[in-house]
Amino acid sequence: MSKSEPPLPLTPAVFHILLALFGKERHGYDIMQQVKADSADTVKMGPGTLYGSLDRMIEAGLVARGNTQDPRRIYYSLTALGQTMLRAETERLSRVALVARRQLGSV
Amino acid sequence: MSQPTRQNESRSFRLYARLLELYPPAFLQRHRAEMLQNFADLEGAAASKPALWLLIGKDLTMSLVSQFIASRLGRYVIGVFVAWALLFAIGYFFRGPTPGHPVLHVFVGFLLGMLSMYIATRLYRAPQNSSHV
Repeated sequence: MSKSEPPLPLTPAVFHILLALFGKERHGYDIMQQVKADSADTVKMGPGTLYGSLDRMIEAGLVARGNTQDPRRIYYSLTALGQTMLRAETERLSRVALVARRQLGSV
Repeated sequence: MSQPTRQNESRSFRLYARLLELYPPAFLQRHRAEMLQNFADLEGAAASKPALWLLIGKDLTMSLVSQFIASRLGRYVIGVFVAWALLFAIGYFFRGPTPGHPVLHVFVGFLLGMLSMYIATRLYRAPQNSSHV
């Protein structure tokens, strides 16, 4: 486990990148498009934000570089720690949503 | 997937390539080729140039600020400003406003701030950029 493992809650950018990489290796542009689709156009990420986040996620051990043959199309994949963090954050968000629904329903 | 060649590079592409020079060298070494390819793809898919540059402008601003704050140089600069503000506040607290010489406190604080910046850069030699979560 990396010493700089990010604590929960994850930032929206990190959460969406982890989600985009779940089950599939993707390159940068593919990640941006998947994040856009997953968030229904609410999270729009440019190259600077994406690669800044990916660098930090690689350092934290959440993401790994995959196929690096073409320097313009480097593929990234989730690590086991990345999957664990994604599941933990999803659980946390579900619990928050449950509490919010309960409170809103009781008003 | 569009792959721009020297001949068909647009003005936007060339401008973006120049703007990338604002990022730290270590970051560019890792990601320049990917970022240029991504820009070419975004440009090909963009509904309009203003929409493209709105996204890119926001992205450049946010990521450059984030890179600067995460870098050692950024931390020095923030440290200098904090030290400067602190010295100014201490001077103001003990001496109160100095009629006719309000710039004096600021100037002395600035000099001490620059001195601390100099000492910090001498201690660390060449400031390098660091990346962390």
